Amino acid sequence: MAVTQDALFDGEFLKKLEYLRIVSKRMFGGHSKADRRTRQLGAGLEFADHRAYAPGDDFRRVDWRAYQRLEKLLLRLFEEEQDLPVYLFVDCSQSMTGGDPSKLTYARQVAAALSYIALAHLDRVTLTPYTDHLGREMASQRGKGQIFKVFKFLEQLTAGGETNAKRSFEKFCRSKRPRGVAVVISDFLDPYGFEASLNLLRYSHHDIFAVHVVHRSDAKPELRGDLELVDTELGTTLDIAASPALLSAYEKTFDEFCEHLAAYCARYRLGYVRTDTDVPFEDVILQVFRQKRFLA
Amino acid sequence: MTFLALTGWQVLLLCAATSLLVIWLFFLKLRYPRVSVASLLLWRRVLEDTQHRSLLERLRRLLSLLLTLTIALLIVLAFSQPNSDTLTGAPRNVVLILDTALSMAGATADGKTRWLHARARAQQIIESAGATDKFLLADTSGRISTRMTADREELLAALETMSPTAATMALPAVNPKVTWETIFISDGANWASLPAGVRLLSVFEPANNIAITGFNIDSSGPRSNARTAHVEITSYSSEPADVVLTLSNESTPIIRRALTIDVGKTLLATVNLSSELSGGIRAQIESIGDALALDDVAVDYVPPQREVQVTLVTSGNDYLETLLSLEPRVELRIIQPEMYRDESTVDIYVFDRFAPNTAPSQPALLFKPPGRAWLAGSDRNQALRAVVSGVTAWDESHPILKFVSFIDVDIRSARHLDFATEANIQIVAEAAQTPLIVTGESSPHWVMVNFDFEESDFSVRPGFPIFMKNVIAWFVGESLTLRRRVGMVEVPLQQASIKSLDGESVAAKTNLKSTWFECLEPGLFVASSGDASIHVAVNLSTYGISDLNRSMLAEQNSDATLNRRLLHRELWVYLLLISIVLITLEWWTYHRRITV
Repeated sequence: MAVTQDALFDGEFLKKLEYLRIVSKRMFGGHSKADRRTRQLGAGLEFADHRAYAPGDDFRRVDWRAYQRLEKLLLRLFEEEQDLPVYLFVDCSQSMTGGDPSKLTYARQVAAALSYIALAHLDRVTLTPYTDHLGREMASQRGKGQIFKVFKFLEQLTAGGETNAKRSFEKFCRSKRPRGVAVVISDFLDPYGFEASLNLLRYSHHDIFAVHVVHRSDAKPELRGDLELVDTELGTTLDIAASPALLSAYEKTFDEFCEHLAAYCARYRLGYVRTDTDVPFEDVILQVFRQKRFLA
Repeated sequence: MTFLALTGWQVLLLCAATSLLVIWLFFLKLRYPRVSVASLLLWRRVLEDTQHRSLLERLRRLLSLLLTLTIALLIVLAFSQPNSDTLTGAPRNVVLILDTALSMAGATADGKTRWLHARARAQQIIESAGATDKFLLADTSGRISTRMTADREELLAALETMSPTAATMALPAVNPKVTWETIFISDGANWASLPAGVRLLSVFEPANNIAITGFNIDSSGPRSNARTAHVEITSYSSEPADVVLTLSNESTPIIRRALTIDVGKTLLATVNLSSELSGGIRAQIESIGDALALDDVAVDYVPPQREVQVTLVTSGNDYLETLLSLEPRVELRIIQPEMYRDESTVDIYVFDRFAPNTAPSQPALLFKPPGRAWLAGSDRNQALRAVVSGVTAWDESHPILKFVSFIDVDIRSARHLDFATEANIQIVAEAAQTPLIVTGESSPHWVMVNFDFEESDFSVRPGFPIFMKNVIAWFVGESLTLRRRVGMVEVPLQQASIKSLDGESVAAKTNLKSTWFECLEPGLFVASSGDASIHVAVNLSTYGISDLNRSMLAEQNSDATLNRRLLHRELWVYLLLISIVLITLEWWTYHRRITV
């Protein structure tokens, strides 16, 4: 399914998206002026502090009213407002295929919506597909006008290969990117485990949001009889006799897996949102993400 | 253990091959339908959790293999039809014969009958037999005989159809090439000896029986119009018995008489009856503790009698004139031969040494007539005289010779006639191939006595009045009552229809000369064929049957079973049943993933 603006968003939905913004639990410094508060002091509008005048300072920032009261030259300091780096990691491994809509399609829709929200608030959006390696990323974009580039990029994403998020994120972290909000959109069915990969982002001091895309066939597989299961990524097989007891055990294991992922995120104060592909996409963006305080 | 279809090593080879095949099939990797899933990560985790839950689950593949192997081997063994002497016994061929004589209907002390005991024993033998034992079930009447079979249900069904009967008793013939074990269940009352090698099972038990051993109504006594009932009652009881004798005519009691009969004695009760009495007469005795009901009843039939116009044509014969004039039902007219004219008002003509030139229109009795064309075998050319000393043969079954005895009758001479064989001419008495009494069977009947009163002493013999009564009765169409024993009853009429006195038809078979029907208890019947009809009184009246204590056997012996076997059916049936149970178990466990 092509991810186009027409397919994704109608005008009404876009309007609603513009009222939303990505909530970062921390302040990150960006490259350009924008409407995100930063810890840096600069030419913003929001008063931050005073400091003693030093030779060479701009006289226009001297607080003459303070000088009149205190007979000291004090300089007014303002908070610097910069853009927020938003890194969207889209899992493009083979496991994201299958189902209607596929998990990858759903992930692309979520990524497109989040990109639009970020771009609308002059945040800097970087889209990064990954499988067992980091894919070719889309260069940082800023401003609503870049949304079509985002759509085009998402359209070109195809699924394939194994999942190895740890190796992918290692490469990302080594590239010394500015800290920002890192959104990982994945099914997290990583044979190497999801903890190591998220730890890497965590250690790099990114504000992490895990968007867990779940398809019905993953949560409640409708299987019957003797079957040979084929791993779509690895191609390995496993013979099972799909009895009600086994299916029940699987569903229980899957629920435990989801709970484990949620518990991990909660322990390290990472954002976690589980999105079932059966849930309409608009509901996820406008309601679920807001309830989880990922969007405000 | 032996195998009926295969030798031992062949079975072992077959079992080994089957085992290999099963194991190969069991480990043969079947290609299951492929289903793609996002990841096997969680599936492997689930299977690891469930597969290692218990020791049984780790061994379930092995259990499954063992179960499959057991099922396959059981089926193979079942098809090879194994046979174990210990479990099912060596195959035997048993001829099981049940005595179906009427004495088997005798009651026993427990309120049952000898027959019920015999049937219970036969059933016990059949049910206790081994799985491979085969039976041929037969009775002594020859009516029922099964094929040699091991089918218990078929045998028991055949047993249910058997019952005591009055048919001729004989042991069934069996194939001498087969080794048989013959078992005969009997009360021994009707068997003087049995073939060697027959195992006897006795159902004999002493019984008290009082029987009517003879019954007839005699209307030929000194007073010819009187009728006398003779009832012979015999005691086969071990103690004196009080008996109540009842005679009834069509359910109306005629007389009821209390009698006492001593042990082993025979009592002859004579009852005078009214001359007006006619129809079926039933005699019945009642006594306490009587063992056989069949011989407590006897029947006879008294035909109605009417006046008969008899014309005696004679030149003078005192014997005939006196005899006929004393006959109460006869209205006699005596004329000289030259006065003879054929008249339709006459019922019977009696010609004494005379015969008209043409046959009379009415039945005629002729004593030594001269030769005439209408008389068969007449001495038209010359009469030959044969010297005879007595009657050598006579037909007792012919109506005119009923109760007539020619023993010691002296006949000095008679005419010797050559008789052409004609269908409607019958020689009913002869002496050294000289016809003495000849009958014309076509209507009107005639009887020709071929000797003179002066040449014989027949006219002074007791049988002569009876002969005259018989002739008159035959001429006027009054058939004499046939007296027969129960069983297959023969009636000397062709294609006769048999009916009881109540008018119910009785199934009958016919041959060239007579008609046969089966009667298992005393009763009166009417056999009709064309214009002729005969009353038939069927009675038991057989001493051998009523004497229930005359047995060659001791009392009942209790060993009524064959050697008892552990299994009652062939071994393959059980093997197949077990395999079916195991298949069901496998199916059940497979669907619950207990086995694979």
